[in-house]
Amino acid sequence: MAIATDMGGAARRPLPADDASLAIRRDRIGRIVVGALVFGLLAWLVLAAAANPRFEWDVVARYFTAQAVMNGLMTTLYLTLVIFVFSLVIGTLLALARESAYRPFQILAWVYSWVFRSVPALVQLIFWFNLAYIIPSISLGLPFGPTLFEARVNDLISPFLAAVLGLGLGEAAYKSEIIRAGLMSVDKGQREAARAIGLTGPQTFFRIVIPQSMRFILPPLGNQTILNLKGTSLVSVIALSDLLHSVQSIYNRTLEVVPLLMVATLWYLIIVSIMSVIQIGIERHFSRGHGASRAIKAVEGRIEA
Amino acid sequence: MTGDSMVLSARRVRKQFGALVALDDVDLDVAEGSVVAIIGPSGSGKSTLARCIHQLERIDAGAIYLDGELLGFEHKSGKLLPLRDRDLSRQRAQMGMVFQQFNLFSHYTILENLIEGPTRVLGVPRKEAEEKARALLARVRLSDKVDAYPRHLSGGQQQRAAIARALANEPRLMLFDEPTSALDPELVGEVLEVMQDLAAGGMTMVIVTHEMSFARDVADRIVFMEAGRIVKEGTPKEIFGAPPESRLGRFLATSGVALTSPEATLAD
Repeated sequence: MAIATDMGGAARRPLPADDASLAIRRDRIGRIVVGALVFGLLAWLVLAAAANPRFEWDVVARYFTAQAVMNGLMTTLYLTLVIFVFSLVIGTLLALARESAYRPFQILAWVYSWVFRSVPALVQLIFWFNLAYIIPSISLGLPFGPTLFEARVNDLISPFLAAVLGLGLGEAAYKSEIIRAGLMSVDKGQREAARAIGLTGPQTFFRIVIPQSMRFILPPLGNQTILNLKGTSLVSVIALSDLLHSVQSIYNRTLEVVPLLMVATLWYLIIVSIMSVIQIGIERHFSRGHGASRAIKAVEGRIEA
Repeated sequence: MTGDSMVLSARRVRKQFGALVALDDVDLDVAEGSVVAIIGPSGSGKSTLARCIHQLERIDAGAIYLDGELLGFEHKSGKLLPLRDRDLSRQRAQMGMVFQQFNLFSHYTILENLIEGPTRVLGVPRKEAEEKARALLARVRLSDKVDAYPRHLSGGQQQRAAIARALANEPRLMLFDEPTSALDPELVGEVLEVMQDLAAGGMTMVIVTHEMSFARDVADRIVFMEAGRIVKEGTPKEIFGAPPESRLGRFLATSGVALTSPEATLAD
């Protein structure tokens, strides 16, 4: 009774001057100043670019959706997708080989990573493109018997295949490390529990281990995929008509170098933006049972604000 | 080859980790509907025994039978071969395992944890599996946590859910590997209660535990292990009546069990 009376009295009393609820936020003014500076700088950059006649925005607009540029864009996207799938499959196999208890597999995976991470992508690209110089033809047949299959390497290795091999084999080595880190992040008890309820090895891997490791695999995987997209611009050296090569072909003819580079730049910017949004969606899906990650919440907060 | 009414029989089981002999000629029989508690100091091999029974570890010698069926190996054209992954999984599904660390699948809800085994291993239709899972969760008093994720549950709740998951496959035998060792003291009781209910319902159980009073009250038989061997085996009365100067007596004394309980004194 006495306590209740006391509390009722406290509620009616005016708040003391040093009550915590009266404190104002100290950082507010600083934030406003910094925010204004940042946005002012951005606005100035955009306006300066828009006003600079050397960007020739009318030329940019003319070529932005030109057929040749669209074809190049499609090649870039398709190449990125093929490299993604190709390197993901090989990278997963390499990660499993590294984690296997069988020593020759471990060594094989290690040697692969060592070789393909050491050689620059551009060198690999040119190497695969010129493979026919080293191995003119490959044939498959029985010893002292008939030849079942023979082909000239020059016919087999198209610029596209050379691009997939040159960029994808090295990428597989990087992906294997990402996947390996993801697999190691899954608690041993989760595997044991899966085996204990009778799941087979493959079921355990695909239903328990992979979904849980995704949380750790996705952020670096998204990073790599964006790097790969931009890395495809290297293929212009083997005359594969990707986005960059397409605009180069045009400006070699018209000499409008800067506006056409802006066309390519804007497209790269748009695609990377779309990929980032997709990544956020996938990451949210795989954060099941762990709450949204801090990065996602930060982005959502910004969208709401 | 095995006892008539024995659900589980282990014969001369041996397991080595490198130079360490974890199990040394272990024999164990578990009758239908009985509860066997395995006690002993840490490193005595009691957890290894449970894991070997459940085929999470492959034994190096001896044989284990579940309902007379050889576990982990098969005879093929006169040779004894380790079972293939698929057959091993089928055998594991006949036994339920409860781990010290619960090990609920963190990316699944509690309900999804429970239906994974029945739907993926036993081929039970999803709807039927869900119905059964809800009934099991009611039995361990977790009906309100059906759609929660494991990390939102307390340790005691997680372990009760893990027991329900192990029961979902309708196992012939339940194995518990120190099920309360990772729990805060005030949460131990709720898990032991569920286990006691199970025992009362006639489930055949093998429990590796440090909970001496629980072993005394619930187990039909207690097995005392030390250095990979079964040193003594008997009814709770026999075990807790061990002379204080014996190895078992000293172990019980350090485990904080009151040896002066009326039964123990009588048995002496």
